[in-house]
Amino acid sequence: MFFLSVLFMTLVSEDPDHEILKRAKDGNRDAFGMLFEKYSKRIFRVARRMCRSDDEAWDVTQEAFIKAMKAMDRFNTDYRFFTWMYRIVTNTALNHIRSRRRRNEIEFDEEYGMDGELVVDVDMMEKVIAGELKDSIAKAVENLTPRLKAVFILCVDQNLSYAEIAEVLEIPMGTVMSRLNRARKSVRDYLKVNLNMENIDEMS
Amino acid sequence: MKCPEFTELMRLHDGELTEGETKAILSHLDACTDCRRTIDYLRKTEQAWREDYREPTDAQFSLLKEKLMKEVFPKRKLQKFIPAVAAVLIALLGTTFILINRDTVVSEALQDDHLAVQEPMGKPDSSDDTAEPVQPAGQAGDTASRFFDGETEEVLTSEEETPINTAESEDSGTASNVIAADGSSGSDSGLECEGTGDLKRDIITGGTVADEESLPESIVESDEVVITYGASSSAGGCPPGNSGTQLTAEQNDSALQQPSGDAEVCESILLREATEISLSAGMVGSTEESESQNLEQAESVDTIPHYRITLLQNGIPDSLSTIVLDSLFSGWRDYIPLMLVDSVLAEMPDELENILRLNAVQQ
Repeated sequence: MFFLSVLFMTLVSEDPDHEILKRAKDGNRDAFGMLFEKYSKRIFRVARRMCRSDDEAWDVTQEAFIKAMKAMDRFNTDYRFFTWMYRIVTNTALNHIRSRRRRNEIEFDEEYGMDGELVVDVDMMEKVIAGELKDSIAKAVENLTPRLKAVFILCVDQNLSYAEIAEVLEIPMGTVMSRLNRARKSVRDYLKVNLNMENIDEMS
Repeated sequence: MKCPEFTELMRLHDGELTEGETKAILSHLDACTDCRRTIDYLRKTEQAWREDYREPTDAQFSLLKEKLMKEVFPKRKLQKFIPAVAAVLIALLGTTFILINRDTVVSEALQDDHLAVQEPMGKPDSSDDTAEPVQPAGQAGDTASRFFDGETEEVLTSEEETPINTAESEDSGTASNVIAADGSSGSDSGLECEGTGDLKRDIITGGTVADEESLPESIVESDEVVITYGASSSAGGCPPGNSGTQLTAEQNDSALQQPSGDAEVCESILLREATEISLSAGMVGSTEESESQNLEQAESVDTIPHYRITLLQNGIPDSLSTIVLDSLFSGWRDYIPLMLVDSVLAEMPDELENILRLNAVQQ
C-alpha cells in the first residue's frame, strides 16, 4: 500500500503542470493562460538568446505559444511540458534564423570531435575577471551557428542537463556534448581574436 | 596525472560527472593550474553572459498574452462585443417602441398636461363669460362648419366637464366652459394655414392624433367660449406667408356673425396674440374688437398651450420640441431629461427661450 501511494505521488509529482495540461488539452482558456504565465519568461529568454533582436524574439515567442496551444490536443501529458515547449521555441527560432538566409556563418561539422583542448592564459583571465569581456562574450555567442547556439543556450542559460537538452532537441546526448564543446571553443576563439590576445595559447 | 580532456572539464563544470569522476578530477585540479584556470574561465565568462540580459516588463508579457488569446481563441472576440450588440439592439427596439407608441403616449401626456395646468390655476370656469367670440381672419361660417365637422378639435374641458353646445349656444355671454383648441388630443388640429385652408395637424400636434371617437362629444355641444387655433378660411384668411397660426376664440354665436376677412386685421391680431401670449401665462384669443375682454381672458384662461403658438410663430414646428415643451409645461416635466429640454430650448431664439423657461418655472 505504501509502495502504491509512493508510486502515485511520484506519478502525480512528475509534472506539476499535469492538471493544468489536462484542462488545456480540453481547450480551457484559463489553463492556457496559466501555462503562459508560468513559462512565457523562460521561453522568451530562449528566443531572445537565439535571435538578434527583441522584435524577432517576441515574434518567435508568440509563434511558439500559438503552435503549442494549437497542438495541445496532441501533446502527451506523460511527457514534461517545458521540454516540449523548449523544443517548439527552439525549432521556431531556428526556422526564423533560417528564413533570414543568414548564410554568412560557417556551418560546422556537427560531428566534429570533442577531443580538443581549451586553454586559457593568465592575460585572458585577467580581462575576464575585470569584466571587460562582457560585450565580447555576447557577440561571441551571437556568432555561434544556430544549432550550437541552441545547445549552448539551453545548457548555460537555461541550465538544462545534457539529457534534457537531448530530449528537447531530439538528438543523442553525445551530440549534445559535441555541440557544447564546439560552442565553447568557438566562443573562446572569438574572444581571443577580438581581445587581441595574441599570446594566448593555441589549442592543441 | 595527465590533464583531462576539455570535455571532462566541461562536464564537471556542467555538473554532469558522476560522483567518482568528480572526485578524480577535483584531485587533479588541486595540482593543475591550467585546468583550474579553464574551469574558472568557463564559470566567469558564462556567468557574465547569463547576467547580461534585460528582461522585458510584465506589461509586455501581458500584451503578448492578450494577443495570443485573441489568436488562439478567436471566438472570444465576438463574445467581447455581445454587450455592445445587446445595447444597440435594445436601443433600436426601444426607439421602435417609442416611435410606434409615440402618438398614444404623447396624447396621454398632454391630456395630463392640461389637467395639471388647469388645476393649480383654479379658475377654469371663471373666465368663460368674458371670452369674446373671435373670428379674425377666417370666415365664421367655414370655421363653424369645420368645427362641427370635427376639423377643429377642442379637447380642453372644464373641471366640471359641462357639456358644451357650441353650435346652439346663443347665450354667449354666459359661457361656463372654456374650450381650448388642443391638437394634441384631437383627431385634427385646429391649426390652419391661411391661404390654403389646409389643416396642418402635425405642426400643432407634433404628429399626435387621438382617436376621433375618444373626443368628448360635448365639444359639439360646447358652451359659449371655444378657443381654438385659427380655423381661418381659405378665401378671406390671412395672406399666405403669414405665420399661419391663429388663436381664435370662437364663440359660436359671435363667431358666426363676425366674419372678418380682412387680412390686415388678421396680421395685427396675430402680432398682438404673439405678444400677449408671450407675456401672459394664460392662453388668450384676442381680437381688435374685444381687446379689453381678451386681456381679462388672458389672465383667467390658461387652457391653451401658448408656447405652441409662440413656437409656430417663430417657425419652430418641430415635433420633438413640441413634445418636450408639452411635457415641460405639464406634470410630465419631471420625467423629461434636462439635457433634452436644454437642447430644445437652446435651438430657439433667446427671447423665446427666456419666455419659455420663465413660464415653465412659473408653472
